[in-house]
Amino acid sequence: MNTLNLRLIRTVKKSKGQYIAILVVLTIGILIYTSFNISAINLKDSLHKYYEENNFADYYIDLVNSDETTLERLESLPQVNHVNGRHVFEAPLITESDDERVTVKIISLPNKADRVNELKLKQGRLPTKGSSEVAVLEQFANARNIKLGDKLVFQAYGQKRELEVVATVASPEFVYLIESEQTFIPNPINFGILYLDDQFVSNQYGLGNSYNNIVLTLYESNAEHSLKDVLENILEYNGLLRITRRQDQISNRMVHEEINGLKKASDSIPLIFLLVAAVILGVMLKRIVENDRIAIGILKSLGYSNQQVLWHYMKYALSIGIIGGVLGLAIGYGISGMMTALYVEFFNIPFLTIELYYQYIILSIILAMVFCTAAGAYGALRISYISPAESMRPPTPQIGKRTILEKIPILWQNLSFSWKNVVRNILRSKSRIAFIIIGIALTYALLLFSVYMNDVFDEMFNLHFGEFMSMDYEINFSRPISISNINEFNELVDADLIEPKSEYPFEFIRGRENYVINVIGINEDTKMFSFNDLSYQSIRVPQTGMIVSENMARKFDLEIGDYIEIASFIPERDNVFLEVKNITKQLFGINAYMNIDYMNEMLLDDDMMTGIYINSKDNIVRELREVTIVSSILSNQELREVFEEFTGLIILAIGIMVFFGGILGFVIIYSSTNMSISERLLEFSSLRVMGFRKREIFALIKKENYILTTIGIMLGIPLGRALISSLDLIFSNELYTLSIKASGISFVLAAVFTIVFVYIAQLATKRRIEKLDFLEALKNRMV
Amino acid sequence: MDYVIETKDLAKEYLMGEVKVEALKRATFKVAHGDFVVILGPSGSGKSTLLNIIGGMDEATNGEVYFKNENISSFSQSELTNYRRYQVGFVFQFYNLMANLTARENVELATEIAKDPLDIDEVFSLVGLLDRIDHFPSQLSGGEQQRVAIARAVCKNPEMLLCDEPTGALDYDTGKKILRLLRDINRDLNKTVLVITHNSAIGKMADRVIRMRSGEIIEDYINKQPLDPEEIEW
Ligand SMILES: Nc1ncnc2c1ncn2[C@@H]1O[C@H](COP(=O)(O)OP(=O)(O)O)[C@@H](O)[C@H]1O
Ligand SMILES: [Mg+2]
Repeated sequence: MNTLNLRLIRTVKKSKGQYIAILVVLTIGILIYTSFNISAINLKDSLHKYYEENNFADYYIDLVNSDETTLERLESLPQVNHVNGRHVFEAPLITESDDERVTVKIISLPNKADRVNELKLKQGRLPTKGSSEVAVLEQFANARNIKLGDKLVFQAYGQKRELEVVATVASPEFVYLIESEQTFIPNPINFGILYLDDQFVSNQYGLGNSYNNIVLTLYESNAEHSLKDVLENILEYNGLLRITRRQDQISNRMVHEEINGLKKASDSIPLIFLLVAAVILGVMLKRIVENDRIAIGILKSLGYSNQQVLWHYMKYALSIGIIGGVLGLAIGYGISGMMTALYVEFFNIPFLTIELYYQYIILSIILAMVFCTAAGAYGALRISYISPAESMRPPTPQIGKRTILEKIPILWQNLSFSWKNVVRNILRSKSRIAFIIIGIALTYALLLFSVYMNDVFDEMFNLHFGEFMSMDYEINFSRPISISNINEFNELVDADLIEPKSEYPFEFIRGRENYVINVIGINEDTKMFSFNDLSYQSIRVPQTGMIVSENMARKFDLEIGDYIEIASFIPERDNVFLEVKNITKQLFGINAYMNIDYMNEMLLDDDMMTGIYINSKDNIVRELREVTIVSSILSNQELREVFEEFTGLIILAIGIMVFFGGILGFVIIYSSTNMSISERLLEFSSLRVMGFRKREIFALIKKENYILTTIGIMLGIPLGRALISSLDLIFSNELYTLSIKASGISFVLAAVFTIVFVYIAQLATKRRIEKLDFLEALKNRMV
Repeated sequence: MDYVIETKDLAKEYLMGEVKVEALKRATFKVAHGDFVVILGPSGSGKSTLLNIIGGMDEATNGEVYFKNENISSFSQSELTNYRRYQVGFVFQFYNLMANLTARENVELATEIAKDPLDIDEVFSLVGLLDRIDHFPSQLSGGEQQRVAIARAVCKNPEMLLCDEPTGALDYDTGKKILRLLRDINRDLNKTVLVITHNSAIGKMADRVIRMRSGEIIEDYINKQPLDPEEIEW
């Protein structure tokens, strides 16, 4: 090996801590980048493989009734591949506990080969023709510990049915199992899917071939949009309720949101790490080069060219780039395997495809190299500007300029010597100080963001299910009934308040945009909802017109006073245009709200309701048990409990983020303190000669770090806020809107974390002070 | 006569903010092959500036330097690098060895890029350090470190050695030994040697003495009877 490389290796060995610190930051950046990206792609691949093998439907059609000829007409369309008619309805499951509410969605299994949304058999066999056997969706079976051979009882159309479990299955339709868009988080204990034989369902309920749900696949999944009008035409007299395209199907949408979130996270967060690693590397290299002036002069005097000297220092940076790139890639790849497995499990995707993507290998190595080259160049390029003679001269002593504080005698004279020393040092080496402050600010911002994420879901849930929707229960009926029936419920349950609701999906059309959105009709003076406009002012349900949720307004580009077209699903009825009276903040879901009377008048025919809201301290599940019209009961309390379990996952993710953020702070303090010790060796040595103890010298460094940490945190507060609001924007979508202000405790907690990491970093540098032989430094002049 | 170095009206100005410092003014002199030249002058008189320009470490503001009739003032950066690499060996007051390289490795740093280097072991035995060749600088005394530095300069097998206050940081006896070593290299290896010093006594061992004051050469004479280093005292 040539001697110059030998010197480099020995230099690295001597400052291992420093080298490893930067390596770690870079490795983490690359690691997050590759693991997130590869997981996202693997998840997508696994999902699409599942969809393809199991004929995931391209269209879901809800309608009042359909017959053989309708299905045949659909099947004869040139684009359409398979068509299945299904009976779909929800019903309560009878369980041993009286206080529990379990809703099952019953879906009939067509007796056909190549079924749309083909089930993936996990255990047992599918129900035989005409039998009262049932296949249970795996998530539900697992959550409720349902085994093959168990008997399930459900109640529908006023009758109880007993079913025998013969299979557990997975379905591409319920990769992410939620009851409705409103519930947001899977709750498989209280909501499940049962697959029954088609003939059994038809016979039991006298439904015949009159299906209320049609699923179909196309030959070409992409040629979808044009089909909607065609379908609407064919189904005009079948009481068409809703056509859902594949990309709007709820489970599919949730999984894609997750994949997109992962992708977005992998584009932004690793970049912060890479940038910080590059900045540290650049600053460090600059220091190394500055401290190596004389060595550089010697090398040049020996006849080494500028390029050779430059390359000598660049190798330092590049070696970090290569090692960090490879290490980050290897670990990231390992993690992506685990992450994908976790996701696939979480989403109940029976396929796990893990592939190594070469473009990410190349990309991440290039990324690491580019960052390190840039950092190295920033640090080392100045070598070419120093003339050899110049670099041999000892650095010109700092011109004894007075610092600002020294110009304020009253202040200055009252400082102790050590404080004077600290302040002077801070005010003199501006670029190093800027580096530390910016580093601390970044660390703080990252930590604040992590802590905030912990807060945010909690807050969002409390706001949505506590303040925005304050009802205790939401009851849905199996068919609409007259509003006048509300009094009967008043007698049935001991309720503080009961209000009617009418909820239907309607297709909204504006310009080129059209989308099916649930419209909820409620009392004008409702106590169940509290709407706030965009400036957080309370608003009332208008007598006419409607309130739309913020994301609906965004989707259709609506402002107050605009009119929007609503397609009627009642045959021969014209579309209506309704005015947007106000826009409300809504964290979860996309909805429009109207006065129930106005809604019935404009969009429906009679004074009907599809459900009620109840406020009650009682457990109304027991009281409503025998009421056949009730198809589902949603309890806000229950939703909140489910949510608390769900946050366990989030807390893990946040823990990891805090850890990574902390590493940043550690590395910044550790490497800059190390650098400053090297630079101030002579100064410290003189202090030692003057009789200062090591402890007192270390105290100088500590004081400086604490001052800088304080300033850094203060700068970190606005930086963290900016980070939060930019990520709010990135991560908000149709399903949820992130817009919560970070709480005061978050700010404090982030500060505490920052200080802890700074403290640990200081402890790590203390060893160096203790080990250093200051007198040796004074005696020798080696480079 | 074959001159190794020839300068013409060499001048160097430094700009310190508004103030112009004339470090060197119209320095003209010649050095013949195989000469042992001592440049004398008080601190700040421009000796180092002169030596750096001659060694291709710095560029003159005015005037020319010829090395074996080649004008190095017109050299490009890479020509200057080659000039330093093949023709010049520097020795500095503070030895300036690389701390994390052994004595041998410090010398190898120079020989690796040289065209026709001398045998390292031979040179170490010449400077009397063969038994310490694998020591790190921190394990050597000042005089020993300076011997390594001289070995580093000599091993490249350059045309001339340029020494900037080589004894400045050493005690009397050690200093004399270093001077003896330089003298031997001059005579036995037939190298041109330029030594800078503020110590006039050292002028007595030179073939040729150049005396400077305030950036100007005020005296330039040939010493008919150079003394042995052991004979001079200060
Ligand atoms: N890089 C520089 N910038 C400004 N002034 C310089 C520089 N190098 C040398 N000088 C000045 O030039 C003069 C000559 O310096 P130098 O050649 O080092 O003298 P000597 O080696 O004889 O002590 C001194 O006044 C010195 O301060
Ligand atoms: Mg000098």
